[in-house]
Amino acid sequence: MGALLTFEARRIVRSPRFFIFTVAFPLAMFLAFSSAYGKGDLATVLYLMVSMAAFGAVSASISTGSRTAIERQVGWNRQLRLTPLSGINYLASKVAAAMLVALPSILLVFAASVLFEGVQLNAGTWARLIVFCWLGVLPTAVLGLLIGLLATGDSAQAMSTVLMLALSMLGGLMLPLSNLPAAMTIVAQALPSYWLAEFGHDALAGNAVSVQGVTTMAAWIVVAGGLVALRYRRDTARA
Amino acid sequence: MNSTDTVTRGAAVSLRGLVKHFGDVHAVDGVDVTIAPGEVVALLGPNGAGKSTTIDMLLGLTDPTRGAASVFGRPPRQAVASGLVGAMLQSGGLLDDATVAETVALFRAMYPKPLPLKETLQRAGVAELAGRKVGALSGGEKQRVRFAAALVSDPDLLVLDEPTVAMDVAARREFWAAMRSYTDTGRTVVFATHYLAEAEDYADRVVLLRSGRVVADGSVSQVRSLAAGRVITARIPGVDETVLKTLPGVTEVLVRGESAELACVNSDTALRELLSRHPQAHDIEVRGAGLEAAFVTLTRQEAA
Repeated sequence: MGALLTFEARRIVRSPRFFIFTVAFPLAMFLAFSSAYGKGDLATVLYLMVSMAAFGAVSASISTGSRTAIERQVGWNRQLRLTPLSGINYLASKVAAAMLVALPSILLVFAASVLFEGVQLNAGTWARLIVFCWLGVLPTAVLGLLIGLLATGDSAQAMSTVLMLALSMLGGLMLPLSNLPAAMTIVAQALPSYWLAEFGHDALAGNAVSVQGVTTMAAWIVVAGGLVALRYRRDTARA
Repeated sequence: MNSTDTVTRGAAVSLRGLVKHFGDVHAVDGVDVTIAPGEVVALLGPNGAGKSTTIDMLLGLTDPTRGAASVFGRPPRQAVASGLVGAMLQSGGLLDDATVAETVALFRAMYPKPLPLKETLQRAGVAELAGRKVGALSGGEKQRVRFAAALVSDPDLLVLDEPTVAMDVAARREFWAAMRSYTDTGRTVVFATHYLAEAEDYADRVVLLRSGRVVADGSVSQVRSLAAGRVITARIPGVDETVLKTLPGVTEVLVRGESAELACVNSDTALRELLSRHPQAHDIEVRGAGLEAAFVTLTRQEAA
């Protein structure tokens, strides 16, 4: 498991997509939004910080998983099937790689908020914030992999972009839900991206994470994970 | 029954009544082959003969509709998982953004008792490419990296599907030289190929497939003689084509001026009779018809 994860991580760090989606994009958006709306209002800056970290983590994890489509297309998965690597090991490594890639986007947005927006939190709050947000990436990491296993190399990019935007917009990462009709909140509460940001807000406020949030996240992981396992089995059986 | 079991257990590869249907398509239609440890076997056949499907079942990538495959007495997946089998498939691919060393090291990490990385790269002839990205390699070089991936577990059985397909002549020669040094250590190899010369030069045994069935199985010379026998050419002054046709063992006659070409199922009988009837015949040559002719004859679908 360690070997495939290391291999994946090395490849990801070298790819330009990594810098665009997990480093440059969320960081630039956070700095743009916070300088436009933050203006010394700590609550707004913190809100934006969590939203943009969540946005970065969602895009990074989905974009990483969806790369699997290209790997399948060139026959890499068939090559892996000729080794003792088990299906569980493969899927776990893939999800772990997506989680790993999401981490810098969270950390960088937090770092930028300290350096450029003067955010100061105690160590315990930072630790909780990082752990809550990072664990919240798990459902989207699995969803990204699902796209990677379903799509062709050509369609994966489009599918992941659509999913990324849908989760960010509808999950309230781009626009505060309080500005939108109440129905939108109901939609948002069904999405893992919404709860990822909520976990962050909870961590900031010192609250325990909500049961509804954990249940919703768990449901996404179970359903998407089940589909991934099913799809993986069928994919290799056909090969 | 007992003796068959013993044979099967001792076999490197055992395919018993192997059948694979994809809907109405009978890709493999009853293949029985037993391969002893140390044999180098070429799997020959035209496209669609069932070579790749047979290899897939042998590696446990596809389950047979009926029949069973076993490798060193184990189910294929188990043999693969324990590192007994190394394989190189046509449809298997490598990732362009990883280096050669990273790629082979990844495969290496998955096996219980792998070869050292350096040795693997050397054996496959890619040691000097170790730091290069796979995407920057030529087709032949990529094939050799895949060969390294197949070798890294130090397998007892190597399965190669069209291993030299992307290589030029020099690369092909190098590949087979690397292969030779591996088979000299008593390992078993099964390879599918389009190049008859490769089967002729490197295989101990040829299994010819057509429409999912084995149509010939034996040494290269056995398979060759099975199909086309030999060809006699001679210069025969005053030769009569109709007379030549009546010679025993002759199947086809071609006469141009005084030179005659006789295709024979039994060239010994034909030659004795030819000389006694035409003592003036000279410049006589007898040659094997070549695997190519055997291949064409045996894999041609019967008309009607």
